[in-house]
Amino acid sequence: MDQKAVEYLQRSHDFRKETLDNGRFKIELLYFTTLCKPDIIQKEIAHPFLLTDTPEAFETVLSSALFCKSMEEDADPTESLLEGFVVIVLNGKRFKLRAPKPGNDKIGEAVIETTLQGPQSALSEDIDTNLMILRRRYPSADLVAESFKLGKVSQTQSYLVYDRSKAVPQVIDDIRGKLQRIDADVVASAGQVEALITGTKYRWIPIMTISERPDRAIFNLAQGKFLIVLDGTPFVLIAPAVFFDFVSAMDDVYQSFVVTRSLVMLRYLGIFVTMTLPALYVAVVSYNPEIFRVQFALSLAGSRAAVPYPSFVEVFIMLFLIEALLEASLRLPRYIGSTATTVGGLILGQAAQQAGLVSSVMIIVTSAVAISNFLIPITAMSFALRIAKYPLIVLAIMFGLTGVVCGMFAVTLYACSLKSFGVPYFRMFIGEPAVSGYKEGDPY
Amino acid sequence: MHRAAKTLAILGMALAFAGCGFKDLDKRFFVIAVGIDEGKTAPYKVSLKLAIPSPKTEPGEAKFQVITQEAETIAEAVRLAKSKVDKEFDFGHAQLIVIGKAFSDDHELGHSLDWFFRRRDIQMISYMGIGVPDAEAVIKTKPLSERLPGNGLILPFSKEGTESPYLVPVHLFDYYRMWKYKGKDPFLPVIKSEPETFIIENVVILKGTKKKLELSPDETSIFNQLARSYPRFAMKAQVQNKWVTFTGTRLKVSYKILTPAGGTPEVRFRVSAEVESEDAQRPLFDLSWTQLERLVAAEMKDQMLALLRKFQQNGVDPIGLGLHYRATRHQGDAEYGKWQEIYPEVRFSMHVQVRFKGTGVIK
Repeated sequence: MDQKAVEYLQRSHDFRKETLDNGRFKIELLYFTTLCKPDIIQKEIAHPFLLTDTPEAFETVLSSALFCKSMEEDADPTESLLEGFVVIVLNGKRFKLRAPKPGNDKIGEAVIETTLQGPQSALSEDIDTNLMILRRRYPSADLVAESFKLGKVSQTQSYLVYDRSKAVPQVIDDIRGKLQRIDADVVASAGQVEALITGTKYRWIPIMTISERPDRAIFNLAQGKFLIVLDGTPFVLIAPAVFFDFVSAMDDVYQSFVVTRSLVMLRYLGIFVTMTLPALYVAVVSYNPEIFRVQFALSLAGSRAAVPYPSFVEVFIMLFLIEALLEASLRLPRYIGSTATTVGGLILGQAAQQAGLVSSVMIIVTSAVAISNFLIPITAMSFALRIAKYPLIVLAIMFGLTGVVCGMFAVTLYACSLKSFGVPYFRMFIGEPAVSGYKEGDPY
Repeated sequence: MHRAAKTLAILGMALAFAGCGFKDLDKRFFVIAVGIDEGKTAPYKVSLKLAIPSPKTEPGEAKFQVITQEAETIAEAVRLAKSKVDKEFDFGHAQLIVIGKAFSDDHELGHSLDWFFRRRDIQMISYMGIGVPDAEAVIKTKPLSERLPGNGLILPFSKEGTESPYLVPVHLFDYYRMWKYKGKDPFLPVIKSEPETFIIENVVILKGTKKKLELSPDETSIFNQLARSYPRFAMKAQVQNKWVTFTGTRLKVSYKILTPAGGTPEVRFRVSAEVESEDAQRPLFDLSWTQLERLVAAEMKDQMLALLRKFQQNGVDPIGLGLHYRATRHQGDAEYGKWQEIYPEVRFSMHVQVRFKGTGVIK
């Protein structure tokens, strides 16, 4: 028995070292009360212990119990103890019994990616529950879950899940290698894993989908993509992901053809608006007012008449306010959050314009930008595109409309140059397996 | 990091280059209309209608300022006018170019208007017209209903507002093209200034760049039909000694130029129209509709032929028959000379087909 290791652990008050005696012989138990479930200890150890007469008989009982293994003579029990095992010492022989207390295995409601009439529950924060959900929804012998421990200290349990018959072997080899090479102390969330396995530090547009929806997870599994499921977070990473995956909501599979196509078009329009509108405002107000109708140019000039600063100053003022409002309502406790939005909305709505700080058209621009940004279903993408408007504004300040057009061209080039695990980022759906039975995957 | 610093430096330098283009639209004076007259002391008198933007727009509350300046050239006049205002002129919305009647009577309207064709910020989709009594009066006119300065002229010309059969709008690019092309003579609408409104009801036909012929309002309407197949026309005809007015709802005009060997050259027009009766002094429903159709067709034919012959006698060709001739013959540069020989002798024939759509009332 490694006495030193036990003494080291005993400094924590939730560590127990107990001796049980049934009058005939004694055993010693070592465990963390916070990690182990007392029911299991009671049922698997204490109860049989009371009934057995000899140490040999109890050894047989332990060997026949589920999740019980005998340990090497000189092995360090620390790791097993920290994973929720109970160590049983019987006549100098040691056994370990798995008796984990379940973590937060409640299945929450989907709040980040909601659908109107699709499945309403999200994944849970417990990895085994998540795997259970996936297995239950995807009962296939081809579904493989490879276990990984991520993080040197945190040892976060994670699974690489894929359909063996559909996933591309090179992609799986690639991600397996990348997961093994992760060299951080603590790994806590799916987004962090994405950052850790991306080669470059300067990352902008996401190339892996993060989702909390089990239905999205299994649709993607069936398309031959892999999932990374992580303990402690209800989000899974899905890859390879192309641009179009970020613009599709699960409702696209649940609604009728014409409705979903119109909604998808609306989202692309939203992407265009949220990226370019502030830049176009600057370009048009300060360089090319002739592209409007004269009537609109005049009323725009009228609304700007009270604003003494150049157009880009008012754009930056308004965008700062709206971004601050967004961030504030995201981070604040939910009860204060609604107050912040109301107060902010009041300021943005009327007062800023009446104070002569911004023009009334700029308020419309700002709200259009903010609202159309919310049209993007995957939050990672909507954050990435929130950033995109700023370089475009800078280009508009310097070069007018030409700058905006060139900037959009450059953004497109950048996105085209990306690859997600070997898949070109702007890949079309042609030839994709039609797993939802929808028409988009029809072979051409 | 090094690369990022370099990029920033380049962007910073670019900022310094861009200085002159950046001007907010509230620091610009939008020139809505430009008027050209003969000056008293200099060849040109340029009037600029400057819109004064205001946050509130109400009918009749359009605010504008007119700056006039005499100078040797238009460019000089504009430069001198700049010293009379506080903001930079922006000709990007110069929607209307008005040429004074006196100026158009005495000057050729080609090279004297060169500034408009060359100036980069004047859009080629500006409208042109001849101002009566002079351009300045037209520019200073303030219609009662105007919500925004210049709207009173822009709306009729762009056909967003009224759709009058007596208005034939001419764009700047179109005028330039008609001037430069062989085979089509330019024309310009006439804008008459009244105390609180405008009258735009006829056009002036130019030969080359000199004024040649002024049409009456009725002729203008027929010209609109012939040249642009403009379907909104009204026509009066006598049905059994009572007046009946017909209005067009659809019109298609096409023509062919025939030059048979040895025979007289002929321009054969084919017109098909749909009409409704709009104002009749007697019931029409029980009359023979075929008769009515024939009546309208004969009337249209007479009017159109009369106008075509008038053009022929004056030696002008605003419809572009010569252009059509050149486009359908294969003799290179000789075509135009040939057409000029043919045109005075050409015979017009007209085939009009009218469909009477309805009487406009339920029996």
